[in-house]
Amino acid sequence: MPKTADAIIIGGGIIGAATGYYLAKRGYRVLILERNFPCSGSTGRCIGGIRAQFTHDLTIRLMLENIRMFSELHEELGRPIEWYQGGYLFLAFDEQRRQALLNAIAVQRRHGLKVEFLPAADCCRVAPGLQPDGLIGGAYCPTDGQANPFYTTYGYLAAMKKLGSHILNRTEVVRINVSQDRVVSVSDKRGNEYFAPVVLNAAGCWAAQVGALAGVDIPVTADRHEALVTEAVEHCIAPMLVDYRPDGCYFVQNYETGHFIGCYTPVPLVPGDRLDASHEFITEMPRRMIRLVPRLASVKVLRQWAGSYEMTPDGNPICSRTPVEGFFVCAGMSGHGFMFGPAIGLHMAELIDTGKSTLDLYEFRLDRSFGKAEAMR
Amino acid sequence: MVRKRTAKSAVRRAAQNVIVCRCEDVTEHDIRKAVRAGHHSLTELKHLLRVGMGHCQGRGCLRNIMRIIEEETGIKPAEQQLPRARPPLKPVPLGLLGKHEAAHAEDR
Repeated sequence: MPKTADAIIIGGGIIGAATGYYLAKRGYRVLILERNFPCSGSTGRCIGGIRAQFTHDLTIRLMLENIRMFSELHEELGRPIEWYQGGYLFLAFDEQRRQALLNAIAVQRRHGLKVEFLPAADCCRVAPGLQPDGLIGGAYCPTDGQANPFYTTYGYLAAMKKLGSHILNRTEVVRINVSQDRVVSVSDKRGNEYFAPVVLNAAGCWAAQVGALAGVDIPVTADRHEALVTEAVEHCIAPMLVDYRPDGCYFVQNYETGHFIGCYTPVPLVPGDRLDASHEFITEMPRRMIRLVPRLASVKVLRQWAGSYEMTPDGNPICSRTPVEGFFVCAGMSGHGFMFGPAIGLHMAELIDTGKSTLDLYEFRLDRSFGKAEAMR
Repeated sequence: MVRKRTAKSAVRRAAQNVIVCRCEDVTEHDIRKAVRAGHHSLTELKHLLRVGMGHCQGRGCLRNIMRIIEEETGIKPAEQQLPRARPPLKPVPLGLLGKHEAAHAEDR
């Protein structure tokens, strides 16, 4: 394994893998250093949803590009990624939520997204079995979808290796060596030193700790989220259902396998990167799912687990150069790393290679004010 | 000696199509291929092949997969890390889990 590279990436999740692949395509010899193994952080714990229904202009444009990329990714990578466009349905149970969704739809349509507000009866047609009591309607976008995070990440890594780049598993970076405000090398726990003029911090919810190794302050913190998966049953609901009420939840049926997989955002949030599974979740989540789709009551739960959202103060990612020359950061995806992955990787590689990207990531720079928060987190 | 080895390899070839993970229909061949590609841990194999992710949660297959990993890599089962056991350990209907919480709330 070479100890020098054109670019070192810290972190083997979707962000590191996608950026590594697109850098390798640009002729870079990439070396990914992964603390455990691919997808061992947040990527392998996400539920695999992909949507363009956001409120921030740049995020909507990014996701429109991502949906195009996911549609063709099996050809690009030469293997299946279980991409399926079943749509996303954001449900409104009160007037305030309906208005918020209508406002979001107006913004999304300006970018050409095919999204509409469906009355309750149409929501139940799109999602058979959905309980209509109290439901006003929902924002439905049929082009949103799902894919397999493992297949996608491993697909990027395999394609990257074919281009002559490498990933080292079980290699934890403990030092980033900086000389005259320029990154020189990184050192791992075993004392090996790896040299590259470019180092990318793609460490997900640990991006702040990795940034600190280079003396760069990166405002990313971890929030614990929990998820569960049921046994596989006959395919019955295509879209991801999102219930934004404080005691709501979101879940989707995996098209390829038939499992239902879902989670909710705890109120209040649970800070920290602990990954223990709670009794509260395994009793509360089923109640919330059945409230939306009563006929799921007989479907059995197989597993519950926890994962970390990597939050920034405004819920938007940080894709940026840093005050240290050659040291870049691409992290803080705020719960959307998997769906952001392909296009963020493509444009991050472009930014690193040419100093500019065709999708201007300026609004995701590190030294922004973090004022304008994403409303559809 | 030669004959014995030939017979053994014939059995081994036939065994390639044996389903090791019966919940997710994963064959010995699939598993050996993944291990040879460098995926030496049970958790990685789970991510790639879905072994141990079905109804039995690995009770039926993990021991056999550990033996395959040992044969391919020399890593003893005792040195291999099991995937984390995830609640509820055995499949439980959503309706029962949800009701449990409701009953609990009424108690209080």
